[in-house]
Amino acid sequence: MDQGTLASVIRHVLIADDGSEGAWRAVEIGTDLTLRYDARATLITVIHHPAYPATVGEVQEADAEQREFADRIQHRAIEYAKSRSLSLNSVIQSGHPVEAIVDYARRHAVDIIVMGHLGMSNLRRFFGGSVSDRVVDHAPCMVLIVRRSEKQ
Amino acid sequence: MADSLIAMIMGLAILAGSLLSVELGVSVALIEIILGVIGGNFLGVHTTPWIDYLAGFASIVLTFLAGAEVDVDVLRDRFAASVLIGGLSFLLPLLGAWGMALWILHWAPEAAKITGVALSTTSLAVVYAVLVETGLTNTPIGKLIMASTFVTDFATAAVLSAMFIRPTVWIFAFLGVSGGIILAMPRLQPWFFRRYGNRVIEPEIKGAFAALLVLMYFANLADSHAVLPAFVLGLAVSRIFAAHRAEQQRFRVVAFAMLTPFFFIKAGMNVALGTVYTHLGVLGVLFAAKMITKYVGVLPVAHRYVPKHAVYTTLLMSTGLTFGTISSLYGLQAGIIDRGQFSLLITTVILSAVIPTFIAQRWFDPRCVDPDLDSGGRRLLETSGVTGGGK
Repeated sequence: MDQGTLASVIRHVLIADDGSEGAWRAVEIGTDLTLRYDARATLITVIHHPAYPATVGEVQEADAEQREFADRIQHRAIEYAKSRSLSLNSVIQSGHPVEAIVDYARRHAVDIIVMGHLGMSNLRRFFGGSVSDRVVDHAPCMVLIVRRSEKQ
Repeated sequence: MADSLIAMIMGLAILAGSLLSVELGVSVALIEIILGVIGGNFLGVHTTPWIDYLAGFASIVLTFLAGAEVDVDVLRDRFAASVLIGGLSFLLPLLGAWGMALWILHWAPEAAKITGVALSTTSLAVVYAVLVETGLTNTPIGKLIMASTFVTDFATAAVLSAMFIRPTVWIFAFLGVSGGIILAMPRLQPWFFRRYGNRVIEPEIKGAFAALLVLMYFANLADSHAVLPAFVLGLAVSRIFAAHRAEQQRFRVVAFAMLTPFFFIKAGMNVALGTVYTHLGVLGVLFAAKMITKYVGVLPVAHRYVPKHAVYTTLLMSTGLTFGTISSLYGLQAGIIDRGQFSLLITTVILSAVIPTFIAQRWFDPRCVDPDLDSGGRRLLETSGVTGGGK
């Protein structure tokens, strides 16, 4: 596919940011892509609550902590994009990361999802599988998986 | 095994439980139960009197928190519908599971009664987690389900307290002290918080713990459990708790760091895996009893108030965890049920936390069933057919 064809295909880039090193690379590459193809970009962060809690407070506090964390990492990404003259639309979704990312892509006519190869937890990946692999399986659009740079 | 060795193992297990909870995204309570199962079945760790006492206190603290987490305004707004849904969500499983244990499993009458209570519960925390995850907490259907769960919790706490009471003179002391604390604490707390609050020595938290320990002492004298007064006390101070977020958080920190792990690990330690494995049929009967009676009780009234989401409402009302565990553990401690029966009840309670939520989210998510969703799927509109839930 040449650049002209890609420019007509890539109009909406969805960048998934979970605060990991790989996700930061995805922010950088996603910003590049958006600028190169004159597209628009949305930054998505998915927050997940502990399953089967014993008290409501456990959920409320996890929710507050994760929203604060999501705000912080999104602010960093938005500032980075701004430094490159790009305005990022940002959303925080709750739920399973795969479902939330794929669902958002479906609902908002996303043309490409850019995300990091490895997320925050190795243990969760061991039990639940890789989020990026499963997004590739279920996404309605192209998916670009970004590896951490060697330096990192 | 020496006490100090058990304490060390418990300390390490509690730490491991927290780390695994963060890494796996599963509640620390469930992880602690699983760690307890491993410790009790494979490492030879056993409970001790000090663990028993801490676990008993933790169960009262959890009940107090359940009461304090009730949103009184939500309950008041949907009172009729929630009393009907929550009441039937309690009553039908209570009677159904009780009868099933008595006549089908041929368990002793008292054990059958514990089975009824343990399987009649609905977990507000599990319900709340699902609603938050799907963005439905502040929607009419979310509020109706939560209000109904408060009612089920209240009924569970009431029956659990009542069923252990023995007719002695101490009942009057227990009732008098409970009533006194429930009336006095909400009135004294604002002054107490102003006078002694925001100090590193935490008089507010110590005050709440002292009140619960007094309730436990008098409940013990009356051969009962302080479940109902602790729940009602939580309910009575819920507005004050809600207005003092920092104190509420510190109370939870102390509870989750030092108390509730002992309760959940102890519950896990008492599970005999072998019994569960060799009685899978009984497990199936217990699980079916809970699900079928919840369906029979909740679905028809849910159809009346939330026609599009009746199955979703029923499934969430079928979840259980904390109160189911508390009821089973009380039954075991009192010698009403044996370790095998306890193991089957706890496994059923855990299954009821996992399976209905999975089915509800996978196949009956209101955001998929109802087209009136906002663009992000975060909010169910008021036009969805839920119109105040029987106000």
